[in-house]
Amino acid sequence: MNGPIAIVHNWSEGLNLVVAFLIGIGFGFFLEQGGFGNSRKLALQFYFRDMTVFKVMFTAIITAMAGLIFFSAFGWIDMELVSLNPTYAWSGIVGGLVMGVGFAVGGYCPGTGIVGLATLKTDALFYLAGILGGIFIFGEAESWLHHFFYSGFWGDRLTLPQVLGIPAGVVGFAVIVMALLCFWGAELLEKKFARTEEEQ
Amino acid sequence: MITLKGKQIGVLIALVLGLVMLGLPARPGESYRFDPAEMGRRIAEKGDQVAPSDLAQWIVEQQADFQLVDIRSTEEFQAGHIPGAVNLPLEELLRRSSLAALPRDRSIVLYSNGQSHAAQAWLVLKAAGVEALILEGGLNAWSRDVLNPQPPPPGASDDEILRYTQAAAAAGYLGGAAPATTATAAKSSPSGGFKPPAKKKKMKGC
Repeated sequence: MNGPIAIVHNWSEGLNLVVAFLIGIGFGFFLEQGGFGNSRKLALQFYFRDMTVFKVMFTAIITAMAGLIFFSAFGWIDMELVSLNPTYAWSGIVGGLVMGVGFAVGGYCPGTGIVGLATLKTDALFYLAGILGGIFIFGEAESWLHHFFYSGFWGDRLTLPQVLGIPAGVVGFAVIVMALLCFWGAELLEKKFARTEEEQ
Repeated sequence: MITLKGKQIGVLIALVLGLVMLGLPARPGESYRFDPAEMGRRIAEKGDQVAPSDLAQWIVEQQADFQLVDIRSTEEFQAGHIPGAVNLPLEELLRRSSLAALPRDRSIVLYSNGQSHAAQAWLVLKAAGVEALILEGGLNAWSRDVLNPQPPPPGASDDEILRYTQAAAAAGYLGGAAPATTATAAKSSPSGGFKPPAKKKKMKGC
């Protein structure tokens, strides 16, 4: 096993942070190049007029997924050492809703908000202030939310292959087919809703 | 001659990769691993062992948080074993399919006649992520300490006499006062049904 590199080679915290910083810069750079620093463009996907965000994100997901599945099969990476968040079903669902509504209303998700701020967008500044405010409120209200937050616990390292009881490769194949169908559907939507705009 | 455009190439690559994925082995390697330092600590602290008297108490109290596994041969097992034990001869226990089928919700207590085979199997079980213990001294110690407790010498303290009385009672319960190998093979299984897995087909891949 050669990876995860930072764990297998026992990197120091400092080196780990430097590498994380470089990867983060790269990630942000390409998000910005893809137009993800612009909240108007991001928000257009909720009107089905520009599905770039959806397509880029889903492509990134299946690329990373394919990489991990193949690397794991070749014995290059030990998936047991890859960090996974524990699954809390109810807080996961509510958190997803909050995130989605926030994305539609604010025009950013947390990552793209920072990308927006990198090009000094005013709305990104307010968006990030909102995030920090929300984090603060959550922190203060944690004792109230604690019970709910940890409800619906499903497992520490829950993955689709485990839940469905099928090999990771089969899940990977299904996700790729799903992605291709979604891309096709997204382009249909783009065409359909672009036309209605012209008619207006 | 079909010429593919950018998007079509992307779709094709994705589909080819997806199809290759379909053929990958289900769980690559079922990798076994352990933390050497943690294992060293457990062994040094004797945290890998349970004393015969403690095990006897667990059985008498019908504790359900462990499963006794006899790793001797089937013939030896049939000739006599500790009540509640299931028989998984060493070679069978250390198959991938058997290790994967071991319960994870309780400790496995391994024993053989002595202690070396159990200790060797313990290492493998730990690496496979199974919580395991070995019976200190194996069946020999069990027979000596639990089934045939020595009466205290005359003039022993009350404590010693009490301990002997308890041990003798436990020995009676556990079919003692006779060597372990001739003890009646009790069928009761206080810790519930755990069956060794049926022989599976050879694992694909890996």
